[in-house]
Amino acid sequence: MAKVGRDVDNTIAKTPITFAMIELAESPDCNDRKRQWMNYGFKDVTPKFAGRATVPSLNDSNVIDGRDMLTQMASVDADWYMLSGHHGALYESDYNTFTTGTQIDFTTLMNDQDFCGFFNEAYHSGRWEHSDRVNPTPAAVTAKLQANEIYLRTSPAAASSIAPFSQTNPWLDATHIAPKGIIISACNTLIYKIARTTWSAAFPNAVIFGAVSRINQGVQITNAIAAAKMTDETFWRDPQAILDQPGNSEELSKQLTAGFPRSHIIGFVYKQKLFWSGFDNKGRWYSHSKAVGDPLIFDLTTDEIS
Amino acid sequence: MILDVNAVRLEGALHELGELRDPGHLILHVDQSLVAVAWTDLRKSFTKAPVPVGPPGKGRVLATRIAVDDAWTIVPTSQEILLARLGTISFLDSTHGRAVRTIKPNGLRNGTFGAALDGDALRALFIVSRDVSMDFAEYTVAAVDLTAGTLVPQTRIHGNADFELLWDEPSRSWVIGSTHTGSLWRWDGVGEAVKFDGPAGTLQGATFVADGEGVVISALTEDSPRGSHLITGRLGPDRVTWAEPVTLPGTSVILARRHPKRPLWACLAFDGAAQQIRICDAAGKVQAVAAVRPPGLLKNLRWSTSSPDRLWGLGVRTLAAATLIESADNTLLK
Repeated sequence: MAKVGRDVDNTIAKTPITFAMIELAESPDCNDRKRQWMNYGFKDVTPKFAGRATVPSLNDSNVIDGRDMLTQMASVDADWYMLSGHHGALYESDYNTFTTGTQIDFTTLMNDQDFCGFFNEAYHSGRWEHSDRVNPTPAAVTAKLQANEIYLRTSPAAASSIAPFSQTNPWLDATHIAPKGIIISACNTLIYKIARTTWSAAFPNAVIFGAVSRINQGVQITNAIAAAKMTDETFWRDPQAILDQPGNSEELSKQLTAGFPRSHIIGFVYKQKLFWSGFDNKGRWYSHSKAVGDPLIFDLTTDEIS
Repeated sequence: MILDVNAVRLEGALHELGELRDPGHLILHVDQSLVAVAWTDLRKSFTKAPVPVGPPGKGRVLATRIAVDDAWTIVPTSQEILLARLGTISFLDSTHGRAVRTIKPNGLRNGTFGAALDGDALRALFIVSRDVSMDFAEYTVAAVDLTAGTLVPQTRIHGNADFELLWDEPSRSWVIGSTHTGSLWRWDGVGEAVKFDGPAGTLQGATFVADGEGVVISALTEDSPRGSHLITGRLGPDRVTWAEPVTLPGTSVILARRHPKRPLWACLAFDGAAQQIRICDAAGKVQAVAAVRPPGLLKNLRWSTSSPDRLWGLGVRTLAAATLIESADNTLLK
């Protein structure tokens, strides 16, 4: 018999906490977080899928149900939201604007890119790889890919002339009661200035976890969050009470980094400020915070983002 | 069959577990340290508080400042720890953590996410990261000759889910399995990698085991109202032979891992709040079951490499040891 839990918390009279999730790629990150939250007694209020033990990825056979879920999600309020999938510039060809010769100016890209979004595999292998703003629907973006694509904006929506598809994000395009926080689990979710300012403007008091670099998979984000000592049940119930205390945001940033790949960068936005820390290419640790609207600088010699 | 589960809550975050030859002697990556600790010492803790690992808590620290992308594994013959950190490979003695020797392979970058030795411990396969574009990175692999220090990348093997690495002695190759799709690659570290597709349909996960005769894949179909289904496959010389799906009864099974020698599957089930460890046979019939009580929460199950009747359960702050105790009328463990 398991011996864990000799001091199980009394959950009677605790405020019920709710969460909702959208998964557009591999599901382990959402699954891990869902199990931890349900282990605390929190309630999944994701439309259509809340009763499942695992979070379905909105690809292939799940796309039709997924679109229906996304529509219903617009009217769902939860304490925590989690969005996972691919995240990046509107199209890969957008890099051309920031490229001289073969060299992409990464600092300018992350500060000046105007349109970003979360997307699923059909959008990734379709429009993201093959479209450009002049020809957003080339032949390579087949009818099947279009039928299965899902794109959720994380910036202002691009004009339909350059992006002729739904960009609706149910959490940004509908009015919601202020959540306690959001986990945006994908590449570069907080590195693009337009994305972090869009999220921060929509949810000014929420703590917003994300990546300040590319990552290999979303579970790197959820593992780091789970490994941080500060993110116990008390944190998820009232993160504002913890992060409003002096020094705690900096401490959380440090703890997140300790459980994250040294080769990547994790951070969070809280009350209009971005906190992140990481390691340069010599393995030296650094830590920064900035107003969400301030530009970031990528140092080509050290790989440090400041 | 009876399943006896003992679990301890850890103060730090458990990232990885390795086993030395002596049963129950573990190497744990907890927080940013590698710690040698005996399971018997951990489970002797009678305090209500979570157990600290490493001084002043249990065990002996072998290395510090270890990141989650500093891959390590235990060398079976020498019992040294092979550790890749910041582009350098070190062999640490598992008693004091002293570096016995180091190698700096050309081209091994910062960031390794898993490691597996070949059968002679002369080469190591590493999961590494590859930048595909400014917005996209993925896992790939590279083999390192531990004598010459040369590195051979193999970018045909790539993906965005955790890989499981095995050395398959009959084919003298590594097998690299995608835990997301159930697909796998076979690669000898020199020639072309050969890919084998996973089972059709959407999976919620897959695990891989080398049983001495080859590699067995255990894939779980995506959770649905109809329940969980286990599909097993055996990798042959040029194809995977898939068996008919087997229904796993009861609450949703989120992970199934086959015993390395016997037709038994350790299953982690989740009913929405609590977890169970179940032992199932090839027909899906439950042979033994035990609860993992909250706040304990497991993410993975591993069969012990030193004790055939032992199963380790790993959570972020939970380490569980499950022991299979055979009843008189049961011969599955024999």
